[in-house]
Amino acid sequence: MRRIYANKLIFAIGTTVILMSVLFALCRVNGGGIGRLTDKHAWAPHRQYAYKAAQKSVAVDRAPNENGHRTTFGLGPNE
Amino acid sequence: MISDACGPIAQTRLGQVNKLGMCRDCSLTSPPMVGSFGTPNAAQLFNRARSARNGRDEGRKKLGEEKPGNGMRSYSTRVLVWIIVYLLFILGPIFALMLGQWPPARDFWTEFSAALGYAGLAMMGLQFGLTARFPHITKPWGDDLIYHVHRQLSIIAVGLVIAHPLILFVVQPEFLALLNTFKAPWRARFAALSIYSLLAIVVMAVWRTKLKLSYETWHISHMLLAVVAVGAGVMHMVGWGYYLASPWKRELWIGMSVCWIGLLFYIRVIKPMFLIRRPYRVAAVREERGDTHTLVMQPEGHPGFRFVPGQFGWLTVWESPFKANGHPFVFSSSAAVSDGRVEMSIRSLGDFTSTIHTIPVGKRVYLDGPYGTFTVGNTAALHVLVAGGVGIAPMMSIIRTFADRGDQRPIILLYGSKDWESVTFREELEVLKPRLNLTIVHVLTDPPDGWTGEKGFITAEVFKRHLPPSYADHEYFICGNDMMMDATEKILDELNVPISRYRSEPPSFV
Repeated sequence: MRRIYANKLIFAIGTTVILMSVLFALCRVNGGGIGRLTDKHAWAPHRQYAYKAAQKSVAVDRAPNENGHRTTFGLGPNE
Repeated sequence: MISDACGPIAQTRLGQVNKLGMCRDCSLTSPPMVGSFGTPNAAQLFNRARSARNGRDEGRKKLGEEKPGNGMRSYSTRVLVWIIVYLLFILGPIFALMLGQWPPARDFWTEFSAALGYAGLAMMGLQFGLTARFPHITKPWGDDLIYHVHRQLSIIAVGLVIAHPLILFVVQPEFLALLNTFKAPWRARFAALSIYSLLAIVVMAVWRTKLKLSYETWHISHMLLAVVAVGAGVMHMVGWGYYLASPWKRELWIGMSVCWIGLLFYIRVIKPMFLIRRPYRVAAVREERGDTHTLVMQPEGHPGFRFVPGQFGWLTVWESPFKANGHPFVFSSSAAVSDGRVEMSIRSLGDFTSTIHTIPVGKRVYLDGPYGTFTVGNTAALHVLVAGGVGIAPMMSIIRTFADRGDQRPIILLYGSKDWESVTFREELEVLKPRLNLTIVHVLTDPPDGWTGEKGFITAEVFKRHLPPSYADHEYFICGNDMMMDATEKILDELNVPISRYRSEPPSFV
């Protein structure tokens, strides 16, 4: 019984490690870091495209768009 | 390591037991045919237990036992804390890679495979900590389970490490070119070396008996390959440099690896240095019933160590403690002796244990210990000792200590043996009985003519016949071969005894 109990806990450890590896990959998939865990823009599905666009443009594209607005985090020039 | 019957405790090394892993003297499984052996009935025992409960705290203080646990909740809390700390050691360094400057983005599967590689290596490294014999690490599980956890987690870690290149080969087939060792860069060669070492560790651990590797050869190979696997893995990471481009991240992972391997250095070099300065001399080698010999050892030039009944030590006889040839055996002597003398009762089953009777008196030996959590430490008034064959050794330590300290808490010993002539410590148990509140129930698989006691194996019916019905209130100690312990634990589960109420030692744990 102790061994069965231990096996369940070992399974839980293995599963947790794999799930955390998935989380790591999801955080890193667009070149992000651990900050993505607390970034609501990064996890809202309908804003994924905007997030990716912003990630690419935010460093270089702070110029006003065609409407005269500057780009903001999560809202790229095409939105 | 396999023992002929019981425990770190009782015996020998892997491959020294029959194919079923059964001790020839242990008993279990089929129901007994006859009742008791002149023992008190369950109601009498219940009354004894109740009266003894009042004085249990005093008895516990006398024994120097740990404070009473809070049952299952306490046990679960300890295990939970252990797991959280373990996961922090694995996942902390991985998520630390996402701090500071990040490397360029890659696809999900490449990142996932990298995370698996890091996690696998971190788990491999922590294996050095699991087997470093630190009491705080082994306590929630017990030494036997720690080695079980070590084996299982190692398999998971190897799986994660191997998944790392396999995923890369699928998502980026150009990496297959790295399999050409002659043309591959050094970082890829280190990766291959790490994985081949891991595979060799698994093959040698799983099929050691079939490969006819001696314990000593396997043990040394196991350690060396583990060092190579972890060292080459870190070299691969550093060589690749993708996540370890920052100096502090590189130092973190290299530092961790040095610490992991340093634990092995501590166990194999530092600790033997202390052991060699604290040797023991064999004072006597006593022959016991059941092909068993008791090794009596006296500390030489030092006071020895204090142990709790049920604990074990690593015994090195024929060689220097620097050689990884220690064998775990339980102490069978009383923990109350004041001159540091310790005894180990060892049944002859394998190449090492069959040499015990040839050890000359005066021979210098080395003892590393004490270890183990197979110890009395609960509030239970009634202690139930379930022994099979030479599994009686730790029980003798408990019984002798109770006798020396005048502890009158009731003990029931369910003792399975092959036949009456091979019942180890039979006579001494009868001598100790009047000094203790001790009930002995012998269960024989091959009883002599006219035997009116229990026959066959230790079953649920034996428990019900000889134990007071409040089964979950008692504390159980189980020592026997794997089958016996599994059967006994199953019985206790059927009797609704929580895991926190019993402790067991298997015949083999390394």
